[in-house]
Amino acid sequence: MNRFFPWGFLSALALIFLAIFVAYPIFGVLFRSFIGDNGTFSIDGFETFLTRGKYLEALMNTVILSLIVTLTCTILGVFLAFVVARYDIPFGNIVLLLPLSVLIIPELISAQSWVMVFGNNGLVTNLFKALGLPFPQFYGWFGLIYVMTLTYYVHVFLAALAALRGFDHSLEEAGQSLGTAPLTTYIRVVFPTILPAVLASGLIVFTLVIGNFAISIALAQRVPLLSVMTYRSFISELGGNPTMQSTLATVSILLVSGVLFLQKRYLSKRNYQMVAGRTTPRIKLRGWKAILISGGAGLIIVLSLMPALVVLMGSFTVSRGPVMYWGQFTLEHYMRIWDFNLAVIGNSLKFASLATGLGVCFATLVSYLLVKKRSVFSPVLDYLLLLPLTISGTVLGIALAQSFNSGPIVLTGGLLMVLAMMVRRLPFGVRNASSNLHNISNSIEEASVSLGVPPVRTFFNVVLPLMAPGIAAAAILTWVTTVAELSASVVIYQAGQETLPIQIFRLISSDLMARASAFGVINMIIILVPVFFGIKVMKVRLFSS
Amino acid sequence: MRYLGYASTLTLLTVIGGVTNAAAGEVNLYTSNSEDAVALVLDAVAEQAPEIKINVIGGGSGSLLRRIEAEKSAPVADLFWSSGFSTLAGFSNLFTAYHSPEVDSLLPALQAESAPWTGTNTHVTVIMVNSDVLDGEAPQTWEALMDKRWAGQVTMADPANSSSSYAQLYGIYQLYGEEGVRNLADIVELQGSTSGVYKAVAQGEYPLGMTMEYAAQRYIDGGQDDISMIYPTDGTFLSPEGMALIKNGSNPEEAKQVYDLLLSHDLQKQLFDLTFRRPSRADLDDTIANSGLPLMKDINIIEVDEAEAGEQRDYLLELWADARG
Repeated sequence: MNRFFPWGFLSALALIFLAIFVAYPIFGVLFRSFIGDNGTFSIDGFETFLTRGKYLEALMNTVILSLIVTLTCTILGVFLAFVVARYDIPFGNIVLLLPLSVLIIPELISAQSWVMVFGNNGLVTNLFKALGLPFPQFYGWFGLIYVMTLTYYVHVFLAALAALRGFDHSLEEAGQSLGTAPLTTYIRVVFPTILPAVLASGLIVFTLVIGNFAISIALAQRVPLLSVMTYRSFISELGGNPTMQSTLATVSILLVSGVLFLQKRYLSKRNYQMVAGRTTPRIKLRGWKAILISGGAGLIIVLSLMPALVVLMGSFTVSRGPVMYWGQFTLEHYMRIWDFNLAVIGNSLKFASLATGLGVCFATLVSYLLVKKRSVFSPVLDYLLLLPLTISGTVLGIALAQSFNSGPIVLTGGLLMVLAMMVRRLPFGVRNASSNLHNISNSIEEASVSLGVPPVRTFFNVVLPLMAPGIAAAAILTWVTTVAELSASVVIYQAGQETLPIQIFRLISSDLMARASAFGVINMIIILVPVFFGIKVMKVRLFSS
Repeated sequence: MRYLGYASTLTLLTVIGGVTNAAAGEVNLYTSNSEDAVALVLDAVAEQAPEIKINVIGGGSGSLLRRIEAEKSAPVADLFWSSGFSTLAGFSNLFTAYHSPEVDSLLPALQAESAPWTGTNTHVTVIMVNSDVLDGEAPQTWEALMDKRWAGQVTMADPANSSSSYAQLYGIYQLYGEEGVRNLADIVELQGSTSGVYKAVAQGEYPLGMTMEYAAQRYIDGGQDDISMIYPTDGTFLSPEGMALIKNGSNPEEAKQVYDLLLSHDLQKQLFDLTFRRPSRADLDDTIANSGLPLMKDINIIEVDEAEAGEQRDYLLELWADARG
């Protein structure tokens, strides 16, 4: 039998796909940052970056913001995980909804809703004004840190919770029985063991903040940030400067890959293997401690879910132009969507389902090739799959637009949109799809093949059904992120291809919050339906990996 | 390879974009105007030229114009409505001139006789005021606005990013020269986009903003009592907007009918009532007066030479960057 066909051939195909649609655009951006106006090698872009104050200021702000948000997310996430793992609190089960809240509420919508609450014309701000109390300026550092913390702490929470649940309680008992005080035991035994997980998730938060576009553009009017500056350099109505766009994108890529590199270095040195031991018993709290701790945890949960409620309310609120009349209700915003904007919903459904379908097929195939059919191409595939992690949505959008608007391969519009949505999610899709694969014994497959079933049919009849739970999780998570995708698509979309997030973004730009909210509610419903279906009907475990 | 590229581009635009060259009796309208404004046009066409069917492609004017450029070899659009004259100038090779019989009823500054487009409406630069956060009397002139006492309390869009903001900078330069530009640079804080300005003022982040009349009027008409606007008495600036026929569009005759309709008295009146964008027609003073906005003849307008403004752009932005420090 031909050793190359079919698996080696398919690996080569996957490799070519990634090389054209991932490596070529990204290296193109890096390359163009060294090309000056006249098409020759030049470091003018970086010289401008380092000498014009505003670029360095944006870089500094981005790094500072990322550090602060990582810190606040870690505190909040670890606290909540600790409470949930160790104490028996009244609404422990609701906490498990939290990761979902981050999935179903797109970043753009949570930024929008917090502006409706705390912005200068917001609900709480007006309440404070009516009472004659001062309220801090929400636009700028305060708002950015606040909204990003509430959006991203869930990553730390999930990681810390998993680590705490896996922690062997006898270690802690051993520490205490040797005469160490409980607090010291926590610090010297428990924290070091969960630290790698927390740090890894903290670094994810760090990279998410660097790349964040939706929250930044809504709240960072006074704080120049790299991602917003990169976007503006591209979208400028007076024609952008390709060298400067590429330079900004390159700086962002270098920043994120630097962080990912550090993370890998750090984690490779620390690897704790827990002998599956007893989980820590959950303590029932009494008195003021119970109120304080469960109250704190409850507050975090309420704040995490609040944006969805505010947007829901805003979508039914009467507005005249940009001015909202809270307390007066109308269906007008939904009727307008029905009359004028069904195409926008159609675009979202079309692009997201294409991206999800293609992305999941690709991820399934590649994960199978990488886990079960390693070939000479596999190491390269591994590395290429890491590349999308290093770029933010805005940078991906710019990379795709610069690479495929002209040159040897020309792609525009719809296909580019699908590609952008698909590529961003690939590394995660492959990880989800391969989650069960390691547990599927090779002998099952070999048995099938030795009984005369061709390898490809074996794959479809034997392996694929076993991979199904992972694939379903990959499909749902990909769907969720592609429906909410804004930062890459807003760079490359063309007129007539607006998706829900793009439409929301444009309405927020013209300060039409009520109409933006109605689109926001529809966006959340489209995200929620498959998630609900997957979890309730198909029993998919989304957060197993 | 290149041929393949174009072929795939076209196929994709057809398949995914969903719009093809307009059939007879159809007009493909590319428009940056809001859906409710477009709905007025559709109603007017349905009533006055029922034989024409309009396919609407909406979007930001930048992305629409880039799409028209991408489709240059096989134009899909028939009519583009609307964008600033200075933005249109960058794409003038995509348009074809049409002298509408309605042009004679327009304000002279909006007839654009020498260009392949026609003015549909014009923006007027105003000072938008939020009295809730304003300390003292609002300045009535640009000169008073540039006083040191307003440092940090005035906002405008970055002239390097926004064409309407550049028009404001050029206007100040015309009125008060280099010194004016430096004074402005000293007191003003910049927003990344045009919309950032009126939002920031409406939300009380700044008491004063340099923005467009219609944007401030949306808040006033919406009932936000603390918003008002000032037409500086030392002269203010227009940013006219226009529409254009697409060169080699497939249905020029029908497109011309829609073009005439967009300049007609009734439709311009309705569009003004809806959007507060000042019409290009000269015979709508009654409507404007009814809305509470001042008539054009009561505003001190400074004539701006668009060509000159374009030529000075690099020099002025350099001066600006230097003055901002």
